[in-house]
Amino acid sequence: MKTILVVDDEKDIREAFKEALESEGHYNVVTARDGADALRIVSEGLKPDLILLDLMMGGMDGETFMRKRVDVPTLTKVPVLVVSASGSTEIKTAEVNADGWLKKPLDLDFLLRSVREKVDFETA
Amino acid sequence: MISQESVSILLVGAKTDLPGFLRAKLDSSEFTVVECPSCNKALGTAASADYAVILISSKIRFADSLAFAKKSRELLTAKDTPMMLVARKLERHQAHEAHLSGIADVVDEPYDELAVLLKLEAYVRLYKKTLQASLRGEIVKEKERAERERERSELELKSLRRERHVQQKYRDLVESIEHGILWIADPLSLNILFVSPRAEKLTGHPLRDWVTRRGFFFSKVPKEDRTRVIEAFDRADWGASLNIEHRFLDKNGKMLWFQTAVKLVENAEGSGHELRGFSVDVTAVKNSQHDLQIFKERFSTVVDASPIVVFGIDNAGTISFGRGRDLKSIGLSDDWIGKSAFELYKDDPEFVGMMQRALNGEQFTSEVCFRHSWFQCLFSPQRDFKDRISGATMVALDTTSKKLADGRQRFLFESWEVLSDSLDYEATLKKVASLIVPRFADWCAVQLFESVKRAKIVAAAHADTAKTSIIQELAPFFPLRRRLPGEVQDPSRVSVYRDLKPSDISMKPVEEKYLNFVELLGLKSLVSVPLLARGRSIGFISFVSSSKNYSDEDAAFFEELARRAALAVDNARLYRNAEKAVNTRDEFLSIASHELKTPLTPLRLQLQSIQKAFNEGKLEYLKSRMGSMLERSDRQISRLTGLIDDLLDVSRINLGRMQLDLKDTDLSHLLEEVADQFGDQIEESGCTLRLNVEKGIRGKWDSFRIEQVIVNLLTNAMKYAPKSTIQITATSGPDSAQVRVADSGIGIAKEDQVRIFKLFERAASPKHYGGLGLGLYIVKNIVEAHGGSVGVSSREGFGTAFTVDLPFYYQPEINFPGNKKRRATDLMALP
Repeated sequence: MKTILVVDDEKDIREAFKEALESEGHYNVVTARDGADALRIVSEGLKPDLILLDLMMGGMDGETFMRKRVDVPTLTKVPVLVVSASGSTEIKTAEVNADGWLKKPLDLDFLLRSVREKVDFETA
Repeated sequence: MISQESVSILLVGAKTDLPGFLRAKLDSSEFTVVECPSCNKALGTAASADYAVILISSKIRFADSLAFAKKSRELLTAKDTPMMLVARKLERHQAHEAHLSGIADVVDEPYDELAVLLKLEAYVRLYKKTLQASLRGEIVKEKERAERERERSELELKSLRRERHVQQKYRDLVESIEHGILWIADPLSLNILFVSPRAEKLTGHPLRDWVTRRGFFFSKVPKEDRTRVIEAFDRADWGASLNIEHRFLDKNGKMLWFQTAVKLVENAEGSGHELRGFSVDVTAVKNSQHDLQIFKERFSTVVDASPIVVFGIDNAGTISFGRGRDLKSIGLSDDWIGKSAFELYKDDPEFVGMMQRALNGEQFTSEVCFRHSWFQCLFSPQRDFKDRISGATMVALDTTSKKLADGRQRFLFESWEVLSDSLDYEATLKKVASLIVPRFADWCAVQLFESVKRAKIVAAAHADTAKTSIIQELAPFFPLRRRLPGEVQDPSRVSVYRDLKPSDISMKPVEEKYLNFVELLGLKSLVSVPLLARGRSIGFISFVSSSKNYSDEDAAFFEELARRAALAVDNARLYRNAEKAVNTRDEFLSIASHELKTPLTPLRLQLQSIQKAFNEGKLEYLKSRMGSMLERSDRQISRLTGLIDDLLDVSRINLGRMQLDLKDTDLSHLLEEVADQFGDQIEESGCTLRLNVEKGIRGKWDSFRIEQVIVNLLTNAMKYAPKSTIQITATSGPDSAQVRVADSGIGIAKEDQVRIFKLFERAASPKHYGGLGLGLYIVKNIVEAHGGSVGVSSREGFGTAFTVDLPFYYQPEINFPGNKKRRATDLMALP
């Protein structure tokens, strides 16, 4: 079982991700409503194998989370996929030093493939 | 020969008186006796001829004889002729008296006949000898005399001829002087004694009038000149002639001009003086002089009235004349006449060279600058009657204003390039200010309005750059104006002030410090020109001269310059605004796409998950999840619908097509419904809603739109003030209802409180807060369409309260808000 942390301020998006990924059977999905929420969950002992991160969020946004992540030892090696509706997702991804990106609205197959690649590669 | 001729003897008395012997002797052919009975007769005879002897007979009285003797001795012919008195008887003393009287020989009775005869013969011989000797001398003398006589007559003839010739010449001369009259007058009565015939031809007055009428000459001299002429004639003297110019009436009453020379001379008889005069008719000359004078005056008038300056120099460069209103502008004054032009213009070798070219015979035109003025100059050599160059003339036309206008035109053209060069109008205006100074102004300031009351000096320049900073000190008083009590000054007009003093400047309050600043900068004339862009004054340019007064042409030029500057500023501002609008729109598009994509993400994932589960035959899974999945999808669709509705509303508002469906509406009920409807969402946002609504607030409103207003305000509160208490209050006033939506969230900064009601504007970062930024814009427009208003009060960190004031009844304008001016940004938002 791989643990995926989904960080998004939209409740429906969080739920949609959880639904789609958990129905695959081998992913455990934990959700956070913003960066601060995610950091709190991690500090409580969660060790995610992958983080799906929204950039534009009320509360702590994705960019701030990425800066803070550097100071959390359990998170430095965890791959991050940026999930964004912005037109300049690629640039943002490079800027925040993330490992890949997914553009909203995303295709389910593409989501599963990207997640599988990241998780399998990192654990191999 | 001579001896043979008879000898003449003069006998005073008769032959018969003589004694016989003597009578006999005298009767011989040897003698011719001329008898004279009286002494007087004898004297006349003795004077007329030469006699050998004079005999005085005894019959003549002794006393008479003596008198005769004495008198005859005085005669040239008889002074040496021997005289013999043949008396009867004489006393000794009588004989002595006779000798003393010149009678050489006295004989008396008794006569010694022989002695008497011998004496007589001796006298005759002596006479003959004397005669012979004198005859020889006479011949020589006669010859000489004849010669002299001949020469004398020749000379006389010559001089006579010469005199005749001179007289003829003189007559010819007098006659030939067409315009001259020779006259002679009595020096005392001044009556004319003689006048040359030309007088009649010239004056028409007959010659006899001249010489017969008393005081004729003066009667024809007009009164004004008469005294002067009479005085002059009285003063006439020997020697040099006295000249006088006077008028003279001819026979037809026509006025002639005479130049008369008078002189006192001796008259022909040498018996007295006469006044000789020569009057020349100078009428033609005088008239031409008069014409010349008129021409001169007209010429001067023309020159004085035109922008022409004329001056002439002679061969040596001496200024002979100068004329023209602007004589000073070419550096000339009346003092300079008679002085050297080369000296005057020694600092301008080019101009001196031009004058010399003209003196060398060249005619040409050239443009010359004297100090600040420009002249188009025509240089011409001047020639005398022998066609030799006698000097040069220069005619100069002042072309300064044309030159100035050309310069200004060029400046405007160049300034346009500068103005349109950059969109940084403040930098551009600074450049323009530095171009104006010092060419057109000693100092200038450009100010732009930042708000209705505040103007900022964005550019200033002073000829003395060190003083530029002082201009800023006067900023509160710009645009500078003359203090004119009670006068309302139109700010959209150009103001031109001349002959200003620092104290004339309108200042509130007047402070010594500021007056000193103006003094320091220098002030004589001021032109204040508004910067007008699309009919609106956006600022002012003040042009100041510290030395000269600005002309109306200057003001017109400044106005044109300001017009261009205003246009450039306006263009740059429009461009900035347009650029900002484009940025805002681009940002909006990016936000809109983000906002639209956000609900699509779960929607798509849900649908694909359902499809996948269905394909994989996970029917049980579907059965258990389907309900919540569809519910979630429906929510996303509602959200998308809401976004699209907002966009359509904005579009409607901008096109003025938002129609209100006004119906009797219960506001209190509507608010409660919204609160119910949003219960879940409020709970999810962690907020608490408190409703404080007066019952039964009713009015004629569009309930759908009013709901939209409340929902917008409520969702904003949930979005920006999560976990806070949201309070909705509704009260009714006399004419309107008030709805207040207050939160205890982050608050809105003062400067953002106006902005947030504008299209695409939002106070918070779109990174953190979603939404299109249309909500408050729509709220404002809906409320205003109902005739109401919306306001905001907020304190950063403490919360925000929006207040909506809604009149109960309002008749909205058709096609709201069609009468509103659209902004450029509005137009860009149109689909």
